[in-house]
Amino acid sequence: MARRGLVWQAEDASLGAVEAALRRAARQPAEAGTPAPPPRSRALTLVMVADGEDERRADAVARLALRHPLRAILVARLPDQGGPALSARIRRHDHPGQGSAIIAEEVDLRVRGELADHLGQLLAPLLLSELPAIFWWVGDPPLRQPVFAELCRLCDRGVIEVRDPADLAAVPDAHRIDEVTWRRLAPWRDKVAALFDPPDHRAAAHDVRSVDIAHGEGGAVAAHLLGGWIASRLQLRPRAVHLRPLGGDGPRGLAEATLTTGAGHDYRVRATANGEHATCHRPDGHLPRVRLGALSVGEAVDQVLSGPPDPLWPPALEAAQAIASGGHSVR
Amino acid sequence: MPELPPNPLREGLLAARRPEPLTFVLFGGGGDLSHRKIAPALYNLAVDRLLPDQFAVVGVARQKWDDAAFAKEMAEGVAANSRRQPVDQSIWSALAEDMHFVTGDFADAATYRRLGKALADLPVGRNRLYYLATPPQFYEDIVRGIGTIRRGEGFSRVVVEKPFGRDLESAKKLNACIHEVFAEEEVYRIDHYLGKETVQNVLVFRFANSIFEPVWNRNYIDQVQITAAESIGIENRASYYERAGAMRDMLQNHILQLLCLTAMEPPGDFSPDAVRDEKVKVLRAIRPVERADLVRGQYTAGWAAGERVPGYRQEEGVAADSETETMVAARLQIDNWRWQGVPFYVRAGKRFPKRVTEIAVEFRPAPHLPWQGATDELRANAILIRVQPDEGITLSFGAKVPGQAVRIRSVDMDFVQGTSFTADAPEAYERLLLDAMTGVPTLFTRHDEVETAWSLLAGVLDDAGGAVQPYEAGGWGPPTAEALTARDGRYWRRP
Repeated sequence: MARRGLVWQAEDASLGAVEAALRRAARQPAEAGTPAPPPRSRALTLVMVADGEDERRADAVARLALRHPLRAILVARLPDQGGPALSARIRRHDHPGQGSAIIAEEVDLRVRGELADHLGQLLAPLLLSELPAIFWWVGDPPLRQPVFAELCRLCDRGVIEVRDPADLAAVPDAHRIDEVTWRRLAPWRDKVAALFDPPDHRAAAHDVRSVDIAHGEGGAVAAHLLGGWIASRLQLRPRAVHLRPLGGDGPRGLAEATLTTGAGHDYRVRATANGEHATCHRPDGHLPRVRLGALSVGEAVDQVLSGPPDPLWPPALEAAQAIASGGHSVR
Repeated sequence: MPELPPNPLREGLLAARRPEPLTFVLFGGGGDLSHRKIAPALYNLAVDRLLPDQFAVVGVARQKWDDAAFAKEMAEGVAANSRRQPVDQSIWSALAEDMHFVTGDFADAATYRRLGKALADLPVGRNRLYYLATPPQFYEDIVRGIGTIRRGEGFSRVVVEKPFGRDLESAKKLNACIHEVFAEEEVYRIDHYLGKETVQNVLVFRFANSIFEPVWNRNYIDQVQITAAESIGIENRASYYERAGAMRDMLQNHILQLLCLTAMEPPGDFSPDAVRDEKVKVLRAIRPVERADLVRGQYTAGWAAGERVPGYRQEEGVAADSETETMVAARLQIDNWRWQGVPFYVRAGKRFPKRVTEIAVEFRPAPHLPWQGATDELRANAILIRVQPDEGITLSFGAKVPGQAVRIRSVDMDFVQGTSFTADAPEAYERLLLDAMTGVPTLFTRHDEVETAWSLLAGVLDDAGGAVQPYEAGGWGPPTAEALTARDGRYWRRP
C-alpha cells in the first residue's frame, strides 16, 4: 500500500503559492539526507469535488493511484463562515515497494465563498499539461448549476453518481460524463446477457416484448439504467419496461429482472437477499447459482479511468430518461 | 448451416472477453506446471470475474486421486504461487466445486473412454479447452486419445506447451499428428514469454509511438543484443534439460520470439494472422545459423550468488560426459531492407551472474562531435527493453556534466513499469489462458513459425554446433562467446 507524506500546507493560500509548492515538491528528496527526488510517474489529473471534507477521498486516491499514477486535486467546497477563501495542502503518495516512486501528488483545496462557484478558473493552472483531466463529483452533483458546467468545460471527462431518477434527464453530454451506478451494474448486465448466450436461446433475445424490473430501496436509478440498457439494445419502446418498487422490507438495490418473449417465455435473473449471488432462469430450467456482487464505487471509478467512454452508455441513458419521463419514446 | 444470430445484449459489454461455458481439460493435472502456474492463473481469472459462470476443470494424470484430492492439490498450488494473497476462500471454493479428476495412463485407450464419460456427465455444455501440461513425449498419445472422444463438441481447442518438437523433422511430425485431430486455428502453441506485459509492450513501444520507429532501422541502429540469463542451474530438471539444452529450451522459442518482435514490420492490425505473418517474414529473412556464428557452452563448478555450486556434469541426473549446452550465443543476420548489415547478437544460459532478460538496441554514433576530448564517457545511444526483472525501458543518451567546461557523459532515462503502474499485472499464464479460452491466438505461435525457427537451427543442433566450451558458473560464458562480438569490433553489454 502507498504511504502518504505531507509536503506543504497553508491555511490562507494563494493559487500562485500552490503552483510554486508543486514545483518545489517535484525536486524534493524522498527522505531527509537523500540527494535526489524519487522517480515520479503521471498519467492523468483527477479532480475530486465534494461539498464538505472527507478523508476517505484520499484513501480512494491511494487505491486508484496503484493503477493510474496521477495528480489528484481534492476540492472541498465549504460554507462561507468566515476564514480564508482558499486553504491548501500538498501530500504525496509513494510506494515503498517500488523504490519510493511517487505515484500520486495530492493537492487538497478547501474552498469557501464565491470562489467555490468558480472552480474552472481555480483549477485550470493545476491540471497536468496535456494529460487527460477527469473530474469525479462525489455526492449529489449540481447538474443544473454553472459550477458543474464549468467543470465539464475544464475537464476532458467526468464521472458522477445520480441518486434520483428525475436527475437522469439533466445529465449533460453522456459521451463525456460517465456514471457510477451504470458502471456498477456491469455484473447485472453480464448475467442478463448470459441468459441469451447459448445458441438455442439467441433468437429469443430478438423476440423480447416486455421487461419487468423489481427493485428495493436505493435501487431506482439502477433499475432505470438496467431497463434503459435492455430497451436500447433490444429496440424496445420505453413503455415495454416496467419498474416495480418493492416494499421497505424487501432487499436493497436491484432485486430481479424478467424479460418476456412474444411466445410468453420468461428469462429471469434474481438476486439473492444480500445481492452477492443470483439465480438465473430460462424457459428450459434453472441455472446454477452464480456470483453477482455489484462493483464497488472505487472499482466503478477505476473502470472509468482505465478505458475509453462506454459506447453503450449514451443510448442506455437516453432510454432510461424516456422511462423516467413516463414512457415517452425517445426515438 | 444457418448463421447464428448475435446476442444483442452481449455486444459491446466491457466484459465481452468472458469465455463461453467451458470445460478445461488439464492433462498433467498432477504436475509441476499445473501446481505453479495453471492453478494460480485459473484462480486469478476467477477473482477478476473472467471465467464463465459454467466452468469445470477436469484433471487427467496417472495419480490415483479422486476429485477432492485433485482440488486440494490445485488449492495448494494457488496458496503457494498466486500473486494475490491471501486466497479468497469463497471464490476458490466456487471454482473447486467443479474440479474433477480422471486417473489414467496417457497411452491407454481406456483413459480416454473414462474421460469421455466424465465430460459427457458434466452440465457445462460442449465447449472444451484441452491443455497439454505434460512432458512432450506424451503429446502424440494424448492428441490421438482426444481424437477418439471428439464428437458432438462445441468449440474445441488444444494448448501445447514448448518444446514443440526437438528439431524440424519432429516438429513437422508433431504438427501432422495434431492436424489429424485439430485444425490449425484450434491449436494454441504456448510460449509464455509472449504473455509477459513487457514483451507485449515491445510492440506498443514501437508501433504506438512515432518517435522511435523512424530510427528503427539499419540507417541508425548499429547492433541489437538479446540476453536471457538465469543465475540458477537446472534445479531438478535434469531429465528434461539433458534432452533439451539451451538451444531448444531458449533460443528456438523465447529468444527468436523476442527477436521477431524487435525486428518485425508493423502489422496492419492486431489480428492473429496479421501479427504472426509479420513474425514469420522476419524468421524467413534470418540467415540459417552457421557453426562459425554459434557458441555452445556448459558451466563448470564455480561460485554463484555467494554459494559454491557444482558443474553441470556433477548435477544429479546428468551424464558425466554430457555434451548438452547450458548456454548458447549466436550472431544472427536478417537479410532485408530494414536490417541488412545489423548484427543481432543473442545469448541465453544458466549459471550466469544474474537473472535478466533484455533487448538492447544500440545506435550508431553521431556523424560528427564538435567537442574534442569531451566525449570519452559518452557511450552509444541505446534503448534497453528489460523483460525481467524490473520490467521497463531505458533510454541512454549523452548529457552535459554541469560545470564551466564541456564534458559529456551518458545518462539513463528510466521507465519502470512497476513504478508507473504499481498494481499487479496479470501473470503471463492468466493472459494466455484467457486468450485460449476466448479464441484469440495472436500471442501463440503458428505451425509455420515453429517450423521456420527449427529450420534456422537445423545445421547447428547438438554436435553440429561444435563441441561445448566450458565456462565457470557465475560467468557470462566461455571466451569464444566474447569472440563472437569482438571479431566485429563490438562487445557484449553488461546487463
